[in-house]
Amino acid sequence: MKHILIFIFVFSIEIKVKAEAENTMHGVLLEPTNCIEESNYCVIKVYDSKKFIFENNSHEFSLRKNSNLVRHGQNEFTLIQGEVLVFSKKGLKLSTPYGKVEIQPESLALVLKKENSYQVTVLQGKVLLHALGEPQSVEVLAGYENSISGVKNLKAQVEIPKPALIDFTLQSWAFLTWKKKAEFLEDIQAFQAAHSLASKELSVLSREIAMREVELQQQNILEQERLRTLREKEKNTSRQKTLQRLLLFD
Amino acid sequence: MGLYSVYLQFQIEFSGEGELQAKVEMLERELQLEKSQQEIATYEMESFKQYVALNLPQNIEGQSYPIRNIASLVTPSEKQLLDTPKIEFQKIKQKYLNKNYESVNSELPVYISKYSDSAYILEANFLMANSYFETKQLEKSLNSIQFLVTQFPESEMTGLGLLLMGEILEKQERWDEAKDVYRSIDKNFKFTELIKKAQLRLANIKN
Repeated sequence: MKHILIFIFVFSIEIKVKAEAENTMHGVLLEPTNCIEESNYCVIKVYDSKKFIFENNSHEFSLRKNSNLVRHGQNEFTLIQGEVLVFSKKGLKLSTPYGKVEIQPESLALVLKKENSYQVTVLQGKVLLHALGEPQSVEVLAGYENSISGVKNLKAQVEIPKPALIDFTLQSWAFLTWKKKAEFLEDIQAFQAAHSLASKELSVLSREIAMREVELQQQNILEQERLRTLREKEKNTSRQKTLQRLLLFD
Repeated sequence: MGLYSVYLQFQIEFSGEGELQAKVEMLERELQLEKSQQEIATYEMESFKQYVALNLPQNIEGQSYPIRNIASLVTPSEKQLLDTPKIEFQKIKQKYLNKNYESVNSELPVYISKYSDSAYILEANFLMANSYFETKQLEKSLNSIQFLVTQFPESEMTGLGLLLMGEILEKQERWDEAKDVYRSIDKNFKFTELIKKAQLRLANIKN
């Protein structure tokens, strides 16, 4: 009886382990086959798995379903499709058609491909956006998000950094994270602090912009008033001249 | 319970279900690979559009702008995201190394006509000549070598192809022609090892 129980136990373990081992790569396409362990060219497409987490050359990735990531070298990647949560110890570059997203060392970011743009949300550290045709890069700090989109007037468009949309960001982050709950909560707390700072900075910035706008409007009103007075004066002068000419005829 | 589990396991193993499942998985993989290639092509198209938008003068509308000029904006240094010719060639080469010559004989001609501008076309023709030789299709092998001679006359691989040609002619007991081929290698190529081999073969025929 004891032997039968042991047999059942061992058998069930073996089947479970086998099933789990298969499940780890299920629904993920790697081209060339099993290229993920190396550091050269590799296409990683997640097609039938909710997410796919992997570590490669001091970078950690979590790809959502229907994402497609291409690795060109140790620190060079291209996000073709979908959404990726990426942490890099040494820093890496993620290419898009509109420019490069440079994840700085020890930084964590969410990168989402939208229809005609790429949205970058920085969760830890710092990200630089190198837009096509723009010599200077735009810095995006933790708590902020920014977008990079198509070329207009010989430059790819980068928006003004703004505080991340908290609900959307936390949902995506919680779904894609590879960390344990306790560690994740610690990260969230740090992010919330950075985010509230970003919100305050934005409110100061918004107030400044509003004040500048009001000043600009006032200046415009004064300028228009000055021009109106000037026009009136010119009008009076020309009327007087006409009157004088008429008098001469008389 | 244990016996029932064993029975279930055996049933799965011997019902053929596993084999069908493997086939389905393989087809699914191929489908996803095609989808992935499509996504990459769309990405590359978008990148190309951005590159053109970045380089075209703003007042381009209304001007006659030759298409060639637009094409010249794409620098050759741009990365190719999916090097399909390379990947496909490596697969065929692996089959050759595994001595799966029948498969190579059917796949290489398709590859050569599909990727006639590929960087691997020289090696592909060389492999094809060897693969035909291994399956005793000597005339086809000679045709492939002929292609190497006309298209890549200075390549070392063409020299190796000519050595193979000599071997084929020897097999057909066309001794004089084989001698001419070896002499031609000796005269026209600069690669020492190749010349040594040709001289050795020539000496063996004389004996």
